[in-house]
Formats: sequence, C-alpha cells, structure tokens
Amino acid sequence: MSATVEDIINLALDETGYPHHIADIYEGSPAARVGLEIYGQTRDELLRARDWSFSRRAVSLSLLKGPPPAGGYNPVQPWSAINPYPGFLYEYSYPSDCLDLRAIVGAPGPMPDLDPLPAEWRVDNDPLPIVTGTPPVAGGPAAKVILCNTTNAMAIYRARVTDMTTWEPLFTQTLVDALAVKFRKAFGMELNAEREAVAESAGAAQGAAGVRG
Amino acid sequence: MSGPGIAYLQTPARIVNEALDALARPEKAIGDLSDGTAIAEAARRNYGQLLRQLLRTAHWNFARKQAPLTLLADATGATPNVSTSVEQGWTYAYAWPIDGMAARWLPSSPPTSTATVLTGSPALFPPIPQMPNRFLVSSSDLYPVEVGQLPWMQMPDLQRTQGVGPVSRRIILTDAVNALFVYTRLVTAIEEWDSLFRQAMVALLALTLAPVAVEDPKERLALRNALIAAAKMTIADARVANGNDAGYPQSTDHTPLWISARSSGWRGSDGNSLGLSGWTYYPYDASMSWCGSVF
Repeated sequence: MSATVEDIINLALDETGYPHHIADIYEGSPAARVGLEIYGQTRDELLRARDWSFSRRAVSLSLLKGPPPAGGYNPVQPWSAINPYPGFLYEYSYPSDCLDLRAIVGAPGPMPDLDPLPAEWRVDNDPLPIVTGTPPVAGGPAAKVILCNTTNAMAIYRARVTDMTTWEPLFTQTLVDALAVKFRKAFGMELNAEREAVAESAGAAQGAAGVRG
Repeated sequence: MSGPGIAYLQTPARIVNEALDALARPEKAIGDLSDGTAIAEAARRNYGQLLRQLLRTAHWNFARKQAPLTLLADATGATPNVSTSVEQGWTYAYAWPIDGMAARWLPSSPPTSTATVLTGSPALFPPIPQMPNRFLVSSSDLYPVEVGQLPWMQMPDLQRTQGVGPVSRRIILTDAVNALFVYTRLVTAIEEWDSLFRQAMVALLALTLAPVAVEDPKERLALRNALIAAAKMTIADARVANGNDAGYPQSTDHTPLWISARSSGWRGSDGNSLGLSGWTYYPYDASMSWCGSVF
C-alpha cells in the first residue's frame, strides 16, 4: 500500500501514461499543481460515496442548544435563536472531520439495547449557533449543526481519513483510478479507458465496503 | 471449541443478520443496529414495531405474565390518595401495565398470601379454578402522567412505556378489588423467545428489510412475494406449536370459556349462572382465534 500522497499521484500519473513523476506535491510542476488541486476533493468524494469501514467513526456530540423551555413555545415564551430549530429538542455541533453523517444514537447503557428506537435528525446550517451570556444571546459565525431529539447524542459518521495506512487496498485503487480520470481531463487526454477502469474498481470496491470490510 | 468467555446477551443485530441470510444478502451483515448503514437504520426503525406486532399475533406462552395492576381510581372512595372518577358502570380504573402488549384475562380472586409454598403431599381437595372477572380495556384523560410544565429532562420516557401518552393513557376498567392481570408482556430479551417465535421474527424482518437490502427491483418484488407466504406460514406454525404447548386445558389458569360455555352455559364472576350458552360477549380471552387455534 502506498504511504504518501505523492505515491498515489504517481500511480495515477502512470495510469494516464504521463511521462513524469512528482517528488513533492508542492514542487510546482504541472502534474503536482493539478494533483494538489484534485487530490483532497477526490479522496473525500470517494470516502463519502461508499460505506468504507475504515472511515466509520462514533463520537459524543457537543451540545450547542436545547432543550427548549419547560412547557414548550407559546406567545409568552416564543421561540428565539437561542433555542434549537422548532421540532427538535437539541442542536449539536457537526464533527469537523465528518463527511457523511449516518446515524444518531443515544449514549450507551450498561446493557445492550434490546429494544432499539430510531432517532430522527437533520443537518442544518445555523447562522447563530453559539449561545452565551445571561440572559443568553445567540451569535455567529454560521456553522453546520445537527438537530435531533436525542439526549447526550452520539454521531456515527464517515470521517475524513487522511492516514493512508488505514485505507483499504480497494479504496486506494479506486482513488488512483478516479485521480487518473481527472488528470486526463486536465491534460486533455482520451478518457474512455480511464472511465472503464474507474467503473471496474468502483464495482470491486462495492463488495469491500460493508461494515466488516 | 470456544474457551471461557463472557456470556453476553444476543442482540437485535443477530436477528437482523439472520434476516439478511434469509434474503441471500449475508455480505450486508451489520455489526450493531447503530452502525449507520442503510440496513442498520432500516432495522432500527422497524425492529421494535415488528416485535410488538408479532407479540400480539398470539398468546405466546413465553410472554405470559400475571401481575397486580396499579390502581388509578376507585369509584367507591374507599381508597385514599386516588381519584374517584371512574367511567360509569365500573368500580375501578387500573393503569395498563407498562410492559403490556395484549390483554388475556383478569382472575377473580388475587392470592392472599405471597409466602413461598413448597410442594408437599397432594392436597385433599384440588384448588378451585379461578373465574374470570369482567374487564374492559379503555382510554382516559383523567389520569395524566405529566401534570403542569415539566422541564424536558424530567419528562417520562413514554416511548418505552406501553399505553401512556402525554395526556391520555390506556386503562383497564373492572369491578375487581386489587386486580391481578394476565397479559402478554413485551419480551425484548431474545434468549427468552420461543425458537419458533424467533424464526417468525426473522421472517417478518426479512420481509421488511427486502426493499432496502435488495437493489434489483424485479428480484425485490419476487422475493417479497415469496417472503410474505413464508412469513405467514412461519407465524402460523409458531402459533400452532404455541397452542399445543400451552398446557391442558389450553390455559393453566382457567378452562377456556368456549368449552365451559358449551358444556354448562355462561357463569358470571360471582358464580351465578345466567343461563346463557354458546359464545360470550365478554372479553375473557378464551375464544377461538380466527385461524381455528385455541389460545
């Protein structure tokens, strides 16, 4: 398995038939400049596209807002930006390394949950996510947030994993194929063969993307 | 051969994975219902509902429970600290058991002693069979669980409590004092399930997960039709076996009413025969089920 960004880029360049390798992603050569532009985006696209077991993470979320005041909202006690969006009890911060939120679960108890309940949630963009002061005031900057009704919520998500030593071999191959397609586009090369390669490796990756992958 | 380890409970994930096996999709096996995969999330949405649905399809022996009911109201006013508001025609209102799935019957006389009795020589006289008491499952907003403006953190967990809403709740009306209730309880521990019930749960879950687990629409449709037939058969088999295993007569509690009514006419809870024969209109849970099985 490749261990550096440059190795991945060079594998992709080999697939395109490009005559030069890069030594450093920041070296400024045409291939390095294109590689720098497309590498991170392509990696994240592929991480999000399938359920790669190596990118699954579970973390306790940080509470931003909620629960609403006792008795709920009414004309005397109307909703304001210090509360979560109506319809939800809590607003949590979106994990910074989260590419695709998959599930919200409650904090685990001493025993396995033998009567599982679903959790409703939604990802929003809150312009005033930070609540401070007495009386409380909501302020910016705007941020991606998670709305749900789960107390002490945990998030299960696909994370941005940059450590290549944890990658699946099939993920690496799929990334190389996808990068090769983008290099060909950038260099004005023929695309058909590379598109077929991407489709082939994506199909193989499908089988390796289960939870036990 | 497995060595010494922790004897841990089976989790719903095992049932889900057996359902995926039934769908010929073992590669989609989950680790836990919190995996966050499409299968795990679909299972999480449906597992609890399917379990409750299946528990109600028969009077499963493994789920039978007898327990005293919690008094909510006494129309006579003889019980301190409870309401006297009871629907007309009834003396007591009791709370539906928090783990109650289906009512079975309400014995007439609760035991007076809870002391453990060891088996000794046979009794000279067999115990008098308990007669069923009149009862009606209803709902009422007279006994709310949440009073006033409770902070959200102090709200009761109604999702895991059967028959209780924020305002109204399911109740049992009866004339029985200190009522005991025989009912089907919510059994979530898989180890307690009957093996045929477990297979029926797998079949139902496979049927529910098929649209998520099978990508090809044609295959999905064909599989679903086959699964519907299989699930019905599995449930029917489980119900028949359950009825056969229930004891003799079919309940250890009482003679089924359809037998007693056929042979001697209907008897009221006070023992007075009203001379009625044939079927009864009281919900004593002793009638034949719609498929001909006796529960």
